[in-house]
Amino acid sequence: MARGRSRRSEGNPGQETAASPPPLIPGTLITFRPDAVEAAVARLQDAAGVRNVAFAADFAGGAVDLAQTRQAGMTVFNSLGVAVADLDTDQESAVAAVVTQDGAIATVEPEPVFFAFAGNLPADVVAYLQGYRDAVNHLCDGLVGPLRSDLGAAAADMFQDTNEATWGLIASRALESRSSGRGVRVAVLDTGLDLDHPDFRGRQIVGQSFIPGQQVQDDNGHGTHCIGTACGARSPAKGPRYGIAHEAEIYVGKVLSDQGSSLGRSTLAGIEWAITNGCHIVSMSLGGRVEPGQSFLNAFETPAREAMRRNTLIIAAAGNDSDRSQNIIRPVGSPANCPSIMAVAAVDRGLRPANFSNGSVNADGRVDISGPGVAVYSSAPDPAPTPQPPFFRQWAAQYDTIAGTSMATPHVAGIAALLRQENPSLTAAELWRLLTSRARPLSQPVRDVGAGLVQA
Amino acid sequence: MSSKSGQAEPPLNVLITVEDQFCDQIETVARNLKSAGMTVAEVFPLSRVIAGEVATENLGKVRAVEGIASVEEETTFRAV
Repeated sequence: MARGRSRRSEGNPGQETAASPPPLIPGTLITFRPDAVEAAVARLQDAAGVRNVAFAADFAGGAVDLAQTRQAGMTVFNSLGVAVADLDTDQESAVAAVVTQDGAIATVEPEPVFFAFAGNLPADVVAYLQGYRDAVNHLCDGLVGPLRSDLGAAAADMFQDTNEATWGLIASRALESRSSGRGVRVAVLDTGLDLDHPDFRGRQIVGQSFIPGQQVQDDNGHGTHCIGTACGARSPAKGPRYGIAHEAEIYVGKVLSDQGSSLGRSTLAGIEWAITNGCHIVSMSLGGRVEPGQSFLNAFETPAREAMRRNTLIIAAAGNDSDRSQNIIRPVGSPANCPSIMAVAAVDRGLRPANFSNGSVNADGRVDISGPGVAVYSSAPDPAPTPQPPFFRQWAAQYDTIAGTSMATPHVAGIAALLRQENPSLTAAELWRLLTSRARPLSQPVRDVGAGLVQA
Repeated sequence: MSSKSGQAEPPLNVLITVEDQFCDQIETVARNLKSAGMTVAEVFPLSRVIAGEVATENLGKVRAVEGIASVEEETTFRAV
């Protein structure tokens, strides 16, 4: 398992054009007591398995050749008492543990990425500035009330479905992408799939049910809708395009019953199955309600960390428990609140948080990114499935339009598949950072929309 | 509690996470959990998680089994 990250400009030559430089993937910055550098480096090599250490002092005049150090797992700037390391998540934890045990290593923090300020600001700088503006606007709104012009703007929908594609594919720029998800394995853990749906004919599909007594065939509708968004056809039998990774290999894990629920163990079984089958991306439009102050479950964080270690990125719905019209914002649900699972909020056609979309109420359950999750058109079983509790919703046959963070999640999963195809050497952690760094910053609190709207 | 009311409480569905250093011995941990009164339903070796049911009066014994990192109540997930 090659766990080392290919960072900075090393990335994927040939994948990038002059107009789009490769993503900057920062490492970890470790600060030592200058008189204890050697001892501290030895501790890191022992405890965290950091290999290929380059010392700045070994370069002529101390002028480090960055082209050479790219191959190094860690570059030590002896006289500064600082090292930059490429660590995977396990190594990061091991290093953090060493820091707390051993005073020789003073601090560990993400390596900052610096930019020359110019007319076109980098996305994360824009996000920072917008976050600052959000905070000031929030304070201002609270003290003096919102401006009239803001109320007018808030009423506008920026995106609509067209004859060509759904608004979600337009807003997320999936429609403009030339990638198809070919060679990428996407597991959707949900209520299954209508295996006879015309838009999935000829596709590579692997199915497995983890619900005793029920088949992969979807008699709920939810799973077919989610898989449609993540992996649906480029040219559907009728109507606009609604699917993103139209050539991805589809792994249908039925972990929710046709009645739309199950114990957590079914989802665990589905996650293990997806990891074992080498799925690159797992999309989970499911969850349970979490109370303010309630922490994530170890029983899902542990497999999510293992998934990351094995290069499987798990993406989950933040949940629909909020009622923002009544100023009720509920915490991100379980298991999306696990730190190693990417939590997806829903935005509407005006790129505002959906009324139901949960927020970063708890410190350890943050919204990471947003996807289109209101008025989402996608595939549905044909004939229409039996209405199921708790809402006994009547489905339309073959295609239907519904809302939920469930619908936002497969937008992110589908786009993750496109990016994975374009950057096949990325680790799951790098893919996560690529998704968040490319997201379209929104003029909404980061608490509600995370890094912004997912972008292909 | 249950004996006073005359009605047995239903067993709790639990997810038990096994400590990292016991990952190779998860089947042994599962056997020890059975001895402690748990009904083991499924063992997930990659996840280091054991799912099953425990009567509330046995929770203390289950928590005391060597190699247990956490005992959490298993929740129901829904399509959202």
